[in-house]
Amino acid sequence: MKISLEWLSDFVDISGIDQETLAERLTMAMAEIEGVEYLNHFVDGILIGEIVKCVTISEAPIKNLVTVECGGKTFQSICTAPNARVGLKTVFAPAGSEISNGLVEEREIEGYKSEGVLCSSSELGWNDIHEIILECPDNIHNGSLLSNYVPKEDCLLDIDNKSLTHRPDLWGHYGIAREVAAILGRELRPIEKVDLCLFDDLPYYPISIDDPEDCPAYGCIELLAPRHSPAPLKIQRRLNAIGQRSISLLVDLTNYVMLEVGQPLHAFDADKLSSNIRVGLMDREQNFETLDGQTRKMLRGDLMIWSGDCPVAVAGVMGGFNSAVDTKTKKLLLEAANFRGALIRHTSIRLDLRSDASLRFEKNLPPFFVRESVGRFLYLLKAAGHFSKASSRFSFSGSASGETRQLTLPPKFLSQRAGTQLPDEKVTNILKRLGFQSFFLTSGELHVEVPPYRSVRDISIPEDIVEEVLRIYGYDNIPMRLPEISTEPTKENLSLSTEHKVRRFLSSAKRFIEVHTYAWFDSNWLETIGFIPPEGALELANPSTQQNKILRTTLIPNLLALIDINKLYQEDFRLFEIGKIFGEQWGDEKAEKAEASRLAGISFSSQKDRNLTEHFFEIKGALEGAVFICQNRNVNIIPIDNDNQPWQQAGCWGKIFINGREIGSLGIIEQPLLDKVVDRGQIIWFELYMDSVLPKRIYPEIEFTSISSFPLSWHDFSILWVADRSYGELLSALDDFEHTLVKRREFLTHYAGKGLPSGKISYTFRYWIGSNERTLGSEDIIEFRDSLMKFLSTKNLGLR
Amino acid sequence: METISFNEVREAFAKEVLEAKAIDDIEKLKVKYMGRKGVFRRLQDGFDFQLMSAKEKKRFGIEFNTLKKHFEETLIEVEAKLVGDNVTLVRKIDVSLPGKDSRIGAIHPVNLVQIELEAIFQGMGFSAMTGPEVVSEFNNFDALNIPNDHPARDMQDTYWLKNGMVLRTHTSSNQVPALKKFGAPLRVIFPGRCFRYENVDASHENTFYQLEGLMVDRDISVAHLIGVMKTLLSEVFHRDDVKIRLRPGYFPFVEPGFELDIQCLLCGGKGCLTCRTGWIELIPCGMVHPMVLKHGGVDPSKYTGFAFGLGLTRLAMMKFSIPEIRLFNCGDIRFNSQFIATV
Repeated sequence: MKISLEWLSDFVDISGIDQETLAERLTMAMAEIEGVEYLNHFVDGILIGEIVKCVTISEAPIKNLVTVECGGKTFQSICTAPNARVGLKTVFAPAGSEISNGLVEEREIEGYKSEGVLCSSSELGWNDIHEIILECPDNIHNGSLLSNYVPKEDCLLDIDNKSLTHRPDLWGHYGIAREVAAILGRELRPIEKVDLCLFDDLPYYPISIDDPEDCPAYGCIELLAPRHSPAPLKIQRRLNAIGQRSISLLVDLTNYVMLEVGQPLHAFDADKLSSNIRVGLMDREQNFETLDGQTRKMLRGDLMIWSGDCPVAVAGVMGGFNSAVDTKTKKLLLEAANFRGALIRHTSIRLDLRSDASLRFEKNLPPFFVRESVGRFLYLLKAAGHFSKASSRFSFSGSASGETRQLTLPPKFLSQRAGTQLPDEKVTNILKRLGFQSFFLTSGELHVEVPPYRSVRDISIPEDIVEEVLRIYGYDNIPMRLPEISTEPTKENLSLSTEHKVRRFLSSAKRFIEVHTYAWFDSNWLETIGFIPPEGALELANPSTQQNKILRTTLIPNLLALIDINKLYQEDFRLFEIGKIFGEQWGDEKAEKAEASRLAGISFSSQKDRNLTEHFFEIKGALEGAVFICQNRNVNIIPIDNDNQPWQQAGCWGKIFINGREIGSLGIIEQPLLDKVVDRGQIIWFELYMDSVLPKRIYPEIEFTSISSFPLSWHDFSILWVADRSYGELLSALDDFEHTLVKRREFLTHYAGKGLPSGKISYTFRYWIGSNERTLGSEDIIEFRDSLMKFLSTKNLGLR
Repeated sequence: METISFNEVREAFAKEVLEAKAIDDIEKLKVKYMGRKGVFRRLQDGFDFQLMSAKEKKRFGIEFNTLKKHFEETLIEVEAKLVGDNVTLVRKIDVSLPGKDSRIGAIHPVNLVQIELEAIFQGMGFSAMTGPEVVSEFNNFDALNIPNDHPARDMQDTYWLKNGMVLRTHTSSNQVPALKKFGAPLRVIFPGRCFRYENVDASHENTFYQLEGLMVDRDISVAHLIGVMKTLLSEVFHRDDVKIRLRPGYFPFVEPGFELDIQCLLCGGKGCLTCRTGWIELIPCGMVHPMVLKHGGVDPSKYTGFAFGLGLTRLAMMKFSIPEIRLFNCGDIRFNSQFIATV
C-alpha cells in the first residue's frame, strides 16, 4: 500500500522530519516501510484554461487546432487527445514552462502556431497516462495557476501489505496519520465529515441482513446523483500519485474515501433497485454479470447484495451490471458495509477479482468505518460543489455498532511483560496519543478504553495493550536481561541424539554423504521402478503436481532416483538420508501420528574392477556399525528368498534383526531393476527403522568383564556346511554349543571350491578357551575338543 | 687405433677418483670407464686378440679383470663414502603418498547448522523435541490461535492430506503438545522440517527447516526475549558485537509479536547489497499468546513466555553463502559433498 505524505499532511504535521527518518520510525513502531519514493510534479507557470475553439485539422491520427482561454488571454495549440472539446477545462502549459517532456516552446506545426501544450497527467509527472488531457472541474477559474491546486513534490511510503493484515484500521491515509501523530507525539487533526444526523428525518432505506456473522454492519444513503464531472484536481492528483486512474467525480470520490478512511464504498443506480437491500448468501449456482461486463459463475455460499429477488452485487468484490451507475443515473444508493473477511476472500480469489476493496474487506474492517466513510464522502461531495439532496436517511443495519470497548489490566501488568519499569504517566500518555483513554485505579489496575476504529481481533486482551504501549515506548528502550539461571537439567532426546550419532558415524567414519529428498513420491518414478505404495499411504489433497501426491512410505525410491543424476560426477558414492515416512500403519491410537523415522542408504559404484561381494560387505559393515553404535549387539541378517518390493529381489536381500526384532532390510540390486535405475554399475541399499534401534539411554551402560590372569589358547575348526544354507543359519546352530571354557568365538574365513565334498562350504572359526582360575592343561583342551566334536555330530556337522 | 696402456688408465682413474666430490661425479666416472663406450670397452677393443698368444690373452684377461674389479670396488667405496657424507638415510617408505580410506563423507548443511544450534541451546538449558511432520489441523492452527478463516489455512498456502491432517507449516505445531506434555516451566526447541504450498524456484521451497524455541516460566518478559536472542546470535555468528532490534510483527500465536532484525554483519549496518537497510530480518518472535498457554494447559495468569522461529534453511544459506534454496533437496553430490562431516 502506498501512502502519500502530501495527503497525510492534511491530518498531521510532518514538517521538520525527513522522509527516511519518518519511514524508519514507522518501521520501528508500526509496520515495515519497504520503500520511499519521491515524486516531482510540473506546476510552475502552468495554467488552467478552457477550450473555446476546437477545429479538427486531421483525422486518423486525430489532430485538433485548439484555442484555450486562460483568464483573458487565449492561446493556440495543436492537440491530439481524443477528449479535447469545446467547453472542457484543462491544464495548459504555455511556452516557457516546463513539463515532463522538457521545456515548452512556441512552435509551428503543419503551418499552425502552437503556443503551448495541453497536458495529460503524464506530462505533469503524475503518472504515465498520456493519451488524454486532464479534465478539470468547472468551478476552477480560467487562468488559475495549477500550483494553487497541486503540490510541486510529494513522497510515497510503500508499506508491505502483509505487515498490515492484523491492522484493518491502517488501510487508509487517516489511519496511518493517526499512527504518525502518536509516534511523533504530534496533534491529529480531525477528519471533516457531514453529520449524518442531519438526514434523520428522511425515510429509512430498508435493509435486511440474513446472517449478522456474514455482514456485521450495513449502511446506505440514497442521494440525487451528482452531475457527471471530473473530480477536484487535488483529488485526481492524489489518486494518480498512488497509482489509481481518475475516472469521474463519483468513482474518484468513492476510491478516495476508501484510500483515506479505509472503507470501500459502492454506488448503485437507485432506480435500478427495488427500493430495498438484502445481504445474503447465494443459494444456488447462478451466472451474474458484474459491472465490468463479464459474466461470472456464482456458487452457493457466495455472499451477495440483493434487491428484491435479484442479486445486484457480489458483496465486497464488485457491483452488478444490472445496478451500475451510468450517465443517465438520477439517484444513487451509496453503500458502506462490513462483511466477514473470509467470505470475501474466498469469492474474490475464486473469481480472480482481487481489488483494493476486497483486499480491505478481507481484513475484517472495523464497523465504525461504515458511518465515518459515508460522512466523509458527503463532505467531499459537498466541498466539490456537487451535493444537492439526500432522499433517505443514513440507514444502518447490523449487530456491530461502533462503540469504545473496556479493558482492565492487572496491576504491574505492563512493566512485568516489558521486563522494565514503565512509569504510569508515560503509559497513559502513550495510550492517549494512540486514541485510547486510560487511567490507573488505586488498586494499581489500568483501565483502558479501546477506540472503535481498532478492530476486535486486533485489540481484545491486556496483552494487546502491552504491544500498543511498548511499540510507541520503543523496544530499543527495553534493557536486555537474561532469565534467572535454572539448574534443572535439560530433558534427553533419545531419538534425536541417536539420529545425530548415526549421522556422524556414517558420514565421518564410512564416507556417506547425507542428502534430503522430498517427503512425497514421484509417481512416474515409482512406475519406472515398479513400486506400488502400500495401502494406508497418505495422500495430499492439494499436491503441487499430481505425480507428487503420495507421501513416501519408504526412503529407498527417492534415493534410487539420485543415482542417475549423480553418476556423471562420481563413479562411486554412498548416500544416506534420515527422515520421516508416512502412512496409517504408523499411526497411534489418538490419530495424532502417522509416521515413522527411517534411515536409508545406497552405495553406487560403476568402477570396472569393483568386486560386488566386497562392495556389499563393506556397506553391510557400515550398517552393522551404525546399529552397534546404537548399543545393539546381536545384529542378525537373514537372507530372504522371495521377491518383495522391487529392490528386494529373491536371493539378493535380507531382513535385519536385533534379538529377533525386525529392524530393517538390506540388499543388492539385480536385473531387471538395475537397468531401470542406472545403465551400468552396482547398487547396495539398506533401510533401517530408526525407532527400533533406539538405545535405552544416550550414554551406554557397560559392565566390565574381569580380565583373566591365565592365558587363553585358541583352536581353529573348519566346519563343513551346506552351500545352499546361509552362514547365519550355521551361526545359530553353533550358538547352541555351550562350554564353560569357551571365552569367544571368531569367524575367520570361508572357502568353497576344490577339495570339498560337493554342495559344501567350509567355514573356519577360532575358539578361544581359557579359565579364570587356572592355566589350562592338555586334558582340558582334549575335553573341549571332544565335546565340540560331539556337539557337531549331533548337528550333523563335519570338519573339513 | 690408438692403444692405451693399463698404467695410463690406472693413473688417470686414480686422479679422477680423488677429484670426485659428489655422487654425480661418480656416476660420470662410471659412464666414462664402465659404460658401453667407456674406457674399458675401448681398452678391450684396442687389442687384436687374434694376434695374441694364449698366454698373452690370459695375462691380458687377468690384468684387465683385476683392473676392472679395482675400479668397481674403488667406485663403490668412494660412492658409499660420498653417500655417507651427504645422505643419512635411504627412505624405506614415501610417507607423503596419500593415506588410504581417509575420505570422509558429508552431513547435510541444514543438519550441520541444526547440530550446532542444538548444542548452543542445550548450553542455555533448552531441551530438544522434534515432533511429527504430519499433524492435526488443531495443532498446526487452532491451538496457535490462528482463526478458522485465516488465509494460511487455504489450499494455496498449506498442504492438506486427504484424511484432514496437514503437513506442518511451521514447527510451532509443537508448542501446545510440548506444553501439554511437559507443563511449565519449560525451555524447549523444536528443530524440524516444515512444508508450505509454494512454487519452487531459486528463493522459494515447499520443504524447509525451522528451529522454533519456546520458553515459559514465571515473569518472562520482553527484556528476557531480547537477552536470550542476543546471546544466541552472538554464539551462532561467533561474535560478541551482534546488534539486534525488535519491531512490531504479527503472528496470531504471540502477543506482542516482533520481527527481530540483526544488524548486517557484512557492512556493519551501513547498508550494502545484501541488506540494503543495514538490517536483516531474521527471527519472527513474540510473547506467547495466552490462548496458546491455555490450550497447552498452562495458566496464563501465572506463567508467561516467549517463542521464536529460526529458519534453519535460511541460516544455512547465510552461514555457507548458498545462493539457491532449491539446492537443499536436490540430492546432488556436487552440493551435498561440500559439507564435510566435521561436527
